[in-house]
Amino acid sequence: MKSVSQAHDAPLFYCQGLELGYAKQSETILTGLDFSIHAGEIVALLGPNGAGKSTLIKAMSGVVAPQAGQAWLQGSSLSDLRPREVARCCAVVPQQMEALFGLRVRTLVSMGRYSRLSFWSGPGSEDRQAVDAALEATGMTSYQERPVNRLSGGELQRVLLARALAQQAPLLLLDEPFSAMDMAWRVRCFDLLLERPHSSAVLVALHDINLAALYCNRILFLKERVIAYDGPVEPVFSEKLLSDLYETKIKIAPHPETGRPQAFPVPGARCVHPFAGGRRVPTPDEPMPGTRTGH
Amino acid sequence: MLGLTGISLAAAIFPGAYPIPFDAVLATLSGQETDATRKIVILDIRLSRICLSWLIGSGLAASGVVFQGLLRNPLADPFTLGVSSGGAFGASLAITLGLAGAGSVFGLRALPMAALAGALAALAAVVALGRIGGQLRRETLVLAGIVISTFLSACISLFKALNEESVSAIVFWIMGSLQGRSWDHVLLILPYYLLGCSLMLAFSRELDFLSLGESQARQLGVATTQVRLALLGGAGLVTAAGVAVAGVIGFVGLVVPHMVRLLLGAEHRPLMIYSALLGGLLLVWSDVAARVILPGGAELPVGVITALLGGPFFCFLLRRQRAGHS
Repeated sequence: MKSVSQAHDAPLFYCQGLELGYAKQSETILTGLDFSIHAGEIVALLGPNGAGKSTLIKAMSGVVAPQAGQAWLQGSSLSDLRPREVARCCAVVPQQMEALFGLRVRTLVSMGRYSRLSFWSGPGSEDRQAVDAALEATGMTSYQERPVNRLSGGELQRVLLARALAQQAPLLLLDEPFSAMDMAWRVRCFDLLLERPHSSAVLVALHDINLAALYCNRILFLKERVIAYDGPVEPVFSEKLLSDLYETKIKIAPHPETGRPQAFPVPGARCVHPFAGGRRVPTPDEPMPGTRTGH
Repeated sequence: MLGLTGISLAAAIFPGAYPIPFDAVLATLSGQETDATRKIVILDIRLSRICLSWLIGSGLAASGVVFQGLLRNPLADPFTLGVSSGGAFGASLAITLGLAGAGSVFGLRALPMAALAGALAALAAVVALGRIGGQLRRETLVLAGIVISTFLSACISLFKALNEESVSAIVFWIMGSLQGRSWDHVLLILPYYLLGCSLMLAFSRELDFLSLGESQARQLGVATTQVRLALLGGAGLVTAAGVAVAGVIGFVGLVVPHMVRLLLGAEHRPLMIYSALLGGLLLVWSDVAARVILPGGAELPVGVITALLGGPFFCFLLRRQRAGHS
């Protein structure tokens, strides 16, 4: 048990020996997860397709029950919390949403307030202000009466981010939240994440490692069912390490404005034609990672 | 909408095989009517039937909203999960065993009681089958509904084959009719209707969340399993009550929610309230049509009218939706 004086240092989320999969008997997707997330952090969750990024986010928000191990949200065991209590601690932006019936943008954003309403009461002025602010921040104010099934993919993602912001939870879990946005909106949305209160933290699953380098202060890299790397951003940006992690040749150069490291994949590096006698783009200074062949 | 409902409920007293003058209605309602036949026709036949059709129509439409949102399927209706087959099974069993006219509980014959029992049993069976690991998943629910419906339909066919005399009675019942229903029927379904509607209305806000899918609803703080069970129970009770007294009246629960959604948008609380109002209106007037279209006091089953209206409208809706997607 942690004493009250330590409470502000206590992690927002922390897990021990967490093992994840979708059913008790089925194959384990992630195993031996031990990590914590503290207030003030922006953590990039990276990893190749199918590494378990979405599964981890679902487990952290209590949707997928762990096969083994335990997780705590703000000091309470996740398995003991009701959905409403979980929603007050963490807000989630899902990777995709099927807008089956045309709920209005404002309705969808207002859903972020649900966990703060009692069974009998409707939304109060505080709730309306939170929704207004979230719509404003994501530039969706003029769209608020529009049905969500008439939005483009990027606009829908802005609505989902607005909903998570309106939820005002200390932990934000974002699953590829900006993948359909144009470059300008990606940057704007990341800037929004920097403006959040210092008592909160963000875990954002990404494929764009360069955005992670520009905005995040920690990287959690999932690969082959385990956490392959957990630590600050800079050490990841070695050409050897990144090439190993992604199993393709990657070059690194500083960002022309900020100087943060940026990664660039090399075309054709991994393209081994079966009839070309195994010829591949030569890699003079580094051995090609991954002795396994074929996909 | 409420005004239109009031006017319709009053206006629907007049059409029918027995002519009713306007002042007779006023006199009856103020207790001054002396002609006993008129009094019976107005109070016991017409008025009870109007109330019953409004209750059933509004209940079916509201349940339709719930089933479509809950199963995340725009083609779902109150009968998707086999409640209608259960009711039809109970009724056919009673007809085949020759019990339809026998017995009387609360002044009612055995038929509606058997149908109610069948509908509720089918709903309970679907929920029990659809519960896997304590969770109600929509895929397993729909599958369980199909399995139960198919099985019960086979049983009904078996009854028809075994007892040819009962075929027409079963068929007429399945088509849905409000002929000869009385205040006793209203009283029979009223508790189920009220309980079911309050459950549905209480959790109508949560339907918005459930329509986004299990994980989003959970992540936003909805206790999905409990809410689903409450909504399913509410919609099932109302549907079962309707099926028990009037048979299977199709299309109201499917089409009305779509009409209201086109006009109002998809938010489930207003959608449910307006669907209930419109569904009630639609069934009251369909029933009026059912009793006046054929000359000489003969009646059509009201299910035929709603299907005749609903079929073409539904085709229009589907085409419109397809056009909207391409």
